[in-house]
Amino acid sequence: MELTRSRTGLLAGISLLAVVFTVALTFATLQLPVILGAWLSKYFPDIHPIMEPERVAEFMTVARPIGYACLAVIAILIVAGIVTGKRKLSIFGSFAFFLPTFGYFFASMFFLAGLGILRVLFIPFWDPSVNLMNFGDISYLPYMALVYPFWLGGVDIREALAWIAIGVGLFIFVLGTITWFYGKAQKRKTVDFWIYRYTRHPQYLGFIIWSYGVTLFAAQQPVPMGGSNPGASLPWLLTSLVIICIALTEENEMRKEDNEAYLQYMVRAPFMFRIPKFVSAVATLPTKLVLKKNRPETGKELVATFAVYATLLVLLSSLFVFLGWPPGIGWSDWPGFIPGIPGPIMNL
Amino acid sequence: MSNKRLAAILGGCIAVIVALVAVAAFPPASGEPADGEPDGNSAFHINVIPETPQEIDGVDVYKLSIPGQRFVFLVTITDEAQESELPVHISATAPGGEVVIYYEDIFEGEVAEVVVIPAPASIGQIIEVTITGTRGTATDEEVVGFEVAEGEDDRQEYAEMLLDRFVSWLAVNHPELGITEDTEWNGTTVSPVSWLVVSHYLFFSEDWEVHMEWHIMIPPYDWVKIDLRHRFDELAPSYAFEISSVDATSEPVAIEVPETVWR
Repeated sequence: MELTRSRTGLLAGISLLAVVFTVALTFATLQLPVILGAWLSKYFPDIHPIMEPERVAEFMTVARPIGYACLAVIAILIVAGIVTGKRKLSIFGSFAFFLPTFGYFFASMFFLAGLGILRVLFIPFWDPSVNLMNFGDISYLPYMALVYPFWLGGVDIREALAWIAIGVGLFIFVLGTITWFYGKAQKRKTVDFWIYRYTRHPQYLGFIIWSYGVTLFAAQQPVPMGGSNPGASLPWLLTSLVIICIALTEENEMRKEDNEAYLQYMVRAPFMFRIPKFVSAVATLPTKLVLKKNRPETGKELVATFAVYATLLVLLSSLFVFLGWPPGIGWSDWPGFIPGIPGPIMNL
Repeated sequence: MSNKRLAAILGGCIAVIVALVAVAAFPPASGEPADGEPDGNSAFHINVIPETPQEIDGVDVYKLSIPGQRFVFLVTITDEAQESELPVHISATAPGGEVVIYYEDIFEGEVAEVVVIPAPASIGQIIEVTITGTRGTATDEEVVGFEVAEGEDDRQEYAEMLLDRFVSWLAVNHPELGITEDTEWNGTTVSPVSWLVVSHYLFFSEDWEVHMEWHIMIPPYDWVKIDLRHRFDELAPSYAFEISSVDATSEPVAIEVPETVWR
């Protein structure tokens, strides 16, 4: 009885700690880009793309090779991490690949001004002649499914949804981290309690949900004249796929270390979150077709799995690109004007 | 998994993605314009806001201005055939006034601004503004006009004080607009003669046109409203805010956005 009471107290304490961290990190997620952007704008001032195209061209001459080089380094880090099993490399690479999404929080006409300079990494995808950033737009499907019914009822939940995703993602991440540390302090080989009962990878799941919220905010940002906002769906999509591959790599290692116990845990807890069987069957079908087995087990198989899923998702996203959808100025305006609400607003 | 199989999978994926990017970058040619004109000369139609004069009961009624006021016309084009890759160059003449054009080369969907500043010598006259668009050999022309009345801008100081109230609030509450306390504004009177109870003023920053109107009345009826149009890509305002009482130092609130610009 005492033990149960003390465990309940501990769980309550940890949950409270997670809430405090979540609030602080949510605030930091939205406030730090503003502070950093104001500081960086001294070094990377805004340029009017229509009034001063020569200055833009001059800047791009320097920035373009830097962007390509940075992206190449990050791609090498990610692939090397997956193939060699040194997952810290891949984690670092995928986070670095996602980081420029914060550049969207800085309103500027020239996309590399202020905090936008982070987006130098996106230059290979953000070319004026062919905008590849929208080749991840299939990621907006859950957003569309949630926003549209409310919009029909005259309620705008776009901004709220982004906030909720950021908060929920951070909460899951923090709770997962605290639980993992607690489990390791107890010298457990497999951490399988508290939040780990509901997901085998709470930190990665938290990261994916948090980054989805950040991506939604990025897509909702209007831009001053001459600028554009293609959103950051492709970086989010690729980053999430890399994170999933890293999670699969970890599971392969865990199965080697603690085979029986981990296999039993895999039966009890879902990979990321519980989904209906038929959805799971459809989602894993490409793996089964390509690898002739249920899951990738080697570095090469992981690379192949990543390539196949990335290609399929890009193919699905291409429907948005070729249909020119959403119409108008893009996701920052979708699904359109609600009387009395002048568009997504970020009050900080 | 063998290296050969991995290479085949990666090769297939790369081929699919390259094909998608190629289609996005080089969409299938839609052919020459129907009339056989080369793209650089494709026809277009010029549109000007506001329409002045307006015919009311068979009489041409002109909008009014005063010397020194900047009368701002918004100019757009509509491509008659397929969308051209070349812009339309906008030029204008206005005998009796000075002409300044902002954003002279426009595509469909973009907005040029033709500003005419009447000279004092034009008081009592109608200034006829001829706005011409040119793309290769294709041209189109619109003639508009306004009347110059005697008067002077005596509202600037108060309008600037009101604008400051909105700007400091917008800088904090709508950072996405890019308006800060350092944003530079140029003001001009508008509707200078005929509106006595409600005064109007226009301000222009590099990015925004702000139309301000205020009610010359005792509190709590001393409201002031602004609407904001994004310059060069919007023909109508996209945001609007109101301070319900200036003396009561009410906070601005978002209000319904007007459908047209004020001139």
